[in-house]
Amino acid sequence: MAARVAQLLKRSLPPLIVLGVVIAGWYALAYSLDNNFASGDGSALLVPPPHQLFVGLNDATLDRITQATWISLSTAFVGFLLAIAIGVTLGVAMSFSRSLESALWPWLIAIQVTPIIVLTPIIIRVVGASFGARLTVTVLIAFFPITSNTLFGVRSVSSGLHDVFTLARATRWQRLIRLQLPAASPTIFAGLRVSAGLAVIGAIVGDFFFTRGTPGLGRLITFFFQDTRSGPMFVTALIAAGIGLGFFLLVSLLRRLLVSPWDQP
Amino acid sequence: MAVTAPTIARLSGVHHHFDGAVVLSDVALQLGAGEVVAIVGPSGCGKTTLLRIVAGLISPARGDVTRPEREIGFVFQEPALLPWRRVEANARLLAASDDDGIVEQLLSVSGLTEHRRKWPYQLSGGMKMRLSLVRALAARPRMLLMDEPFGALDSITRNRLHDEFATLHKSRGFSALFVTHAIDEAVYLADRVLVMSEAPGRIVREFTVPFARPRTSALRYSPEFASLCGAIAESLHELAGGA
Ligand SMILES: Nc1ncnc2c1ncn2[C@@H]1O[C@H](COP(=O)(O)OP(=O)(O)OP(=O)(O)O)[C@@H](O)[C@H]1O
Ligand SMILES: [Mg+2]
Repeated sequence: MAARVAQLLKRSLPPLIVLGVVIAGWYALAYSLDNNFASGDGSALLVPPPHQLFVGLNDATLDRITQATWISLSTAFVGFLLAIAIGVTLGVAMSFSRSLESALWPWLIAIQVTPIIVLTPIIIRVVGASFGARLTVTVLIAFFPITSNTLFGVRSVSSGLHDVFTLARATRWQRLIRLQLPAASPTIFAGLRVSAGLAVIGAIVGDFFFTRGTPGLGRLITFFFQDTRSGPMFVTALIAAGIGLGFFLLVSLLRRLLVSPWDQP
Repeated sequence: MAVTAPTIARLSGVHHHFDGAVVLSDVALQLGAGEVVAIVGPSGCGKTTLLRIVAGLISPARGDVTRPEREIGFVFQEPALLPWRRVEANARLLAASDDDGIVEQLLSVSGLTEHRRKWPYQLSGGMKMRLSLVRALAARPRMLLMDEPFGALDSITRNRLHDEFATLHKSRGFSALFVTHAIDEAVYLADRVLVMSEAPGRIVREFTVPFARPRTSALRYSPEFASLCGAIAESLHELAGGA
């Protein structure tokens, strides 16, 4: 027990030290900037020091932040799930057919290398400023690492394992479900980890172009920026970071449950 | 037995090459129902390739192959276990769903019962090999092909598994064709021992093993056993030495 506590302390100490340095740097920045504090009530104008983050966070602002968080979180989450479904399906389909792979691959690369920010207005024009458009943006930015990792993982199953299934006269479907996808799962999870972060970026960046309706975190932060409301702006940024971190941890947790027990070097 | 039993698999005039390099040249081979045949030969002479052709995993460049349509068991040279399945699930992978008894029995004779909850990466090389053997036998094959199945084992475990294999073979009556580097193993288990030449591989000698079954470990120390092993070793040396 004591040993485990010591172990935990030892592992969490380095990041905690970095956290301390970051907070110290934050304070140093807040108090070294010229004109950071209003002459009247002393509230922060540019960079609020950590203890002043929640100053000026009234009920109305809190409400807007909550709604925006909900919009961005649901967009990122549903978009991520769709990206997984589409990404895995595409990867598997391309692993089945070389001609499908060579037909699709250049276009997938083209989508992947096009900055999502220039696609967003086009998508809104085509799909309309709806939840569907938000999802489209999120899926487009997030699916590719899942597709390429699924394709690569499914293709690199050892030939010895394939022989076992060949002799057992497995159907293509049995081979996929019982051999290729489990064998590819470590690789697929590596893709999920990247895509989880991209889905959050997609949900928030896409939001910049939604000029009507309730804003998500992306547009809300621009409002706070224009109104020079630094406290709420920082809080919004921290929430966005928290969502990204949450997605990352979710994928890590699933990986720990499904893959780590057996996937040892 | 070898001559009179109906044939379960037959190769004739089989040639094979990889990227222009001839690996097998005019190989003929018969496996009778219930027969156990061993193949010995220098490393790289094409033994694995031959087994894969018998199994139907590769088609030979030339030649005829007949084999059972299904129920072919294969113990690969590298134990091809599913890393995401525990020992027990790997053992059951190919077994029929009503085959519970046999899996338990095989796990127990191969000393894997206490390791049943482990993942493949937690097994030693010999344990992996045993598990791969268990998996193949649990499928109740009609024809069992084995590529150095007892290679990674200590001699005590090896001898014990030889006897278990013989017992299982007696009760099930499957046919078996196996590759080994250990001549004593070939003689102890097989009805016939085939000797292959250096690449391009051909079957150059055939030895019939006259010893009655069931064989016991006393046989291993008998002069007849030693002299047959000696004769096989000599023919291998001749091949290597180019005499
Ligand atoms: N898939 C392949 N592609 C190209 N060459 C191959 C392939 N498989 C085997 N060979 C070649 O065929 C020859 C015979 O190989 P094989 O594995 O059948 O030998 P082996 O008798 O089983 O050897 P060992 O006793 O070392 O297992 C070797 O020269 C090898 O390099
Ligand atoms: Mg071999």
